[in-house]
Amino acid sequence: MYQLTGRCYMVVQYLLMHDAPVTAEQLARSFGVSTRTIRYDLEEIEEFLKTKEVVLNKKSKVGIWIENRLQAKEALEINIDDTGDYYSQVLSEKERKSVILSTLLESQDYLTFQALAGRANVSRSTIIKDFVDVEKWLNKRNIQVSKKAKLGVKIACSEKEWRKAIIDYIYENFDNDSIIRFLKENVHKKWQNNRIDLFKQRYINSLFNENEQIAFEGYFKNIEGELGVKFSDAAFAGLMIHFGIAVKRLNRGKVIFMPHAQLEALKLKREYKAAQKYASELENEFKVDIPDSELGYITLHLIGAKIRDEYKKDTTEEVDEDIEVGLVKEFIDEVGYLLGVDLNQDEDLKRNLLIHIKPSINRIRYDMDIYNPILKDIMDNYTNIFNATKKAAQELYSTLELKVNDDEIGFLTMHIGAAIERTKEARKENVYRALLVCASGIGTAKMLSSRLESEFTQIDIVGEVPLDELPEYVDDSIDIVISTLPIDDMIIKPVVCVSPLLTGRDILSIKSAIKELKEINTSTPKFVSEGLLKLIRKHCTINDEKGLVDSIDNYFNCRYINTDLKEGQKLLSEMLCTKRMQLNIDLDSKEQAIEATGRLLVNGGCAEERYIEAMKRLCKEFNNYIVIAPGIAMPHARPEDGAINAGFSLITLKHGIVFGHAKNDPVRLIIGLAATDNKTHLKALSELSMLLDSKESINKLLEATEAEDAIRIIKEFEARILGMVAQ
Amino acid sequence: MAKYQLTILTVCGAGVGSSLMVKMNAEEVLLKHGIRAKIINSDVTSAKGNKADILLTTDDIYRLIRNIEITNVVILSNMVSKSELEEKLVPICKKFIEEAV
Repeated sequence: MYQLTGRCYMVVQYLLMHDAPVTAEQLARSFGVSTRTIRYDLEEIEEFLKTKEVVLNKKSKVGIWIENRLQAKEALEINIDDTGDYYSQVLSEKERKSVILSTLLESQDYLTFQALAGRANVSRSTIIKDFVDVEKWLNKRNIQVSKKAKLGVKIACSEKEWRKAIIDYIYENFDNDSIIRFLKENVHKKWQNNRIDLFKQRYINSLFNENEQIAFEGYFKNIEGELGVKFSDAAFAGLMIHFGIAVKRLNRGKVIFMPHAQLEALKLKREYKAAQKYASELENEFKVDIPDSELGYITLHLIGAKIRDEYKKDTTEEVDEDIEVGLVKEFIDEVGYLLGVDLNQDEDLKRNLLIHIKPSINRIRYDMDIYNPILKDIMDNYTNIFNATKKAAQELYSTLELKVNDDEIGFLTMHIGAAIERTKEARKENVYRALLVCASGIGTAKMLSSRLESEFTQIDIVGEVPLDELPEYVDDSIDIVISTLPIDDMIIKPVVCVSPLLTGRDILSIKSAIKELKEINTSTPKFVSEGLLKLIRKHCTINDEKGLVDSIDNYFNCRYINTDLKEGQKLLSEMLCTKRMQLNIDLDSKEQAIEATGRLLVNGGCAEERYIEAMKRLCKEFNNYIVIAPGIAMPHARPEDGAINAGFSLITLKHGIVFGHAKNDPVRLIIGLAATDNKTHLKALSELSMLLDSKESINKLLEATEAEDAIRIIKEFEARILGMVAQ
Repeated sequence: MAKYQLTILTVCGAGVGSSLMVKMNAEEVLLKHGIRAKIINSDVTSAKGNKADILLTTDDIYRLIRNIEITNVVILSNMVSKSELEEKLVPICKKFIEEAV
């Protein structure tokens, strides 16, 4: 039976997910194809839907929509539940388990294996096999699975455990960068072409829609303002996700519980007060009551969230501060000792660790897990540093009677790693200024920054900036942007995307980007900048500043337009001579004109006799393409048609001739060209192009009667534009 | 992973004259507007063998290679005019870069 597949299938899904009509342009943009392609798709879709008795409506200026949506959904054999996920494609084992897990977590009631099988499009026995691992996963997180004959399976746990499990699930299935990206894209409604990404996107979408997301963002931004900090992109995304889940659960009447004593202690904190202050806006937006215990959990997350900005002095907790400084110093001492490196002079390290420590202590104290997405990579690539850090960290935290886990140690390792990279050989003169964009906060950014600078002596990292502030920081002084997140905005600078731990491939990418920069910089210098002008003013008295700027601009323009241009190439005046000119003559037809132009080339030794025929033939074959601009024709043929020496000829006419060109007739100026390759005449050709773009020069040439005058005009043009005179 | 690179193809009859000229002018104009692109030139007979995002040529040539597989076409009436390039080519390049991720 015929089924819609690929993009057609997704277009129908897209239409079904949107209530309002969608235009073809929107579809084209979303799927990254042309509108013509979309229209072909729509034809196919319309045919298919007709056989299912579903109507596809198309109205110009309004858009496209499907009339009987339910029937359409059935037609596509889609299974939909109330969160709107679609599982009609073939899933891998990993994906199946993921589907089972998420269905179980989201389900209020008992689920039969049969239902799960239908969901994942496989047999019941396959589900039973898959279920073994799923149950293990849940049990590890203290979630029990209750099984009842004929009814099926259901999970049983506290709200707190449930939320932890969901967070684990999300972070296992989406890396940090994806989450951040999905959150951003959710607002801009950009769609992926990959169907699995569609499934993931739907999942995040089910957490909050566009309005909700904006409301949450506003809430946390307010809190940031109130507390005077900025959270890292990853922490911010984490807050959004936690809170999105919380509100959904509140809507279903699931309240999270917090021990009274703990809650009372949290109520005294600034973070709690900030969370409470703006909570009423959210309560209005989502028509839900946010109980104190929820605020308590938000507070915990806020305290544990990684802070991006400078270390903020917290005046209500001065006592703690001294302890922290002392602890950090001891920690650095111990790690340095274990690794045989002196890190005590490193002010950056001290400061970064201080910023990191307080949230870290709070996280552990309140049992908030932090998830380190690159922990495995850290343990593999920085084993020594990791082990030393682990030892020192365990000592540090044990004085506070806390146990620190590997994820936390991973982050500490990154700070130490960065410091160690910094102690390596002094950097040489840096050439390219780079901006670094990194999602996960200070540690990763600083570490990557150090590694980049030690790996590439030609790169100077000017600063680490968060993604949404990147456009503000990009200016003329920046040469390249290096980022761990994909960048959607158009940044006029070269961008290289890398992983935070700089794989071999990333290094190659950066190397080739630097090479490109080099090529651009040597072959196409920048235009006159204020900086250059200041320098010139410092050492000279300038008579005509505008003239100077124009000349320099032109000088660089001409010299370095084309990477194929070489110093040895001849100027126009050198490729034209008086013998190859006929000025101010009268001719009757275009054939005569081409003949005359060609004759000059042949007599001047630039081409063989047969070249003239070729010029005429090509002109005819290609619809008078040689009339390149109003009043100007450039007849020529291919090198293999008989060109001997590269050169030009010139004819100007008293009265214009009609060539038959749609726009640029009549022709009064004809330049013949014999080219032996595609290089020798390049410089002259580009000069010619500029000359012919200047009305003033053309008029002068048309008025000239003597060949010597024409040569003089051209040489004057060269002198003015190129700042040089031909030998 | 380097950023997406915009490719432009200029075509003329012989491949050594006007297409080269347009290529050089386009390079200069795009550079001025901070747009990075790769520009290749070709003659009519080998034009279709080239993959590019934008086709830049004159109407007379375009009529001969109409069925080329490039959907974005910029037609110039004046091959020496940089201002025409700025007017016609720059906006379409910018649009391309905006939409390509």
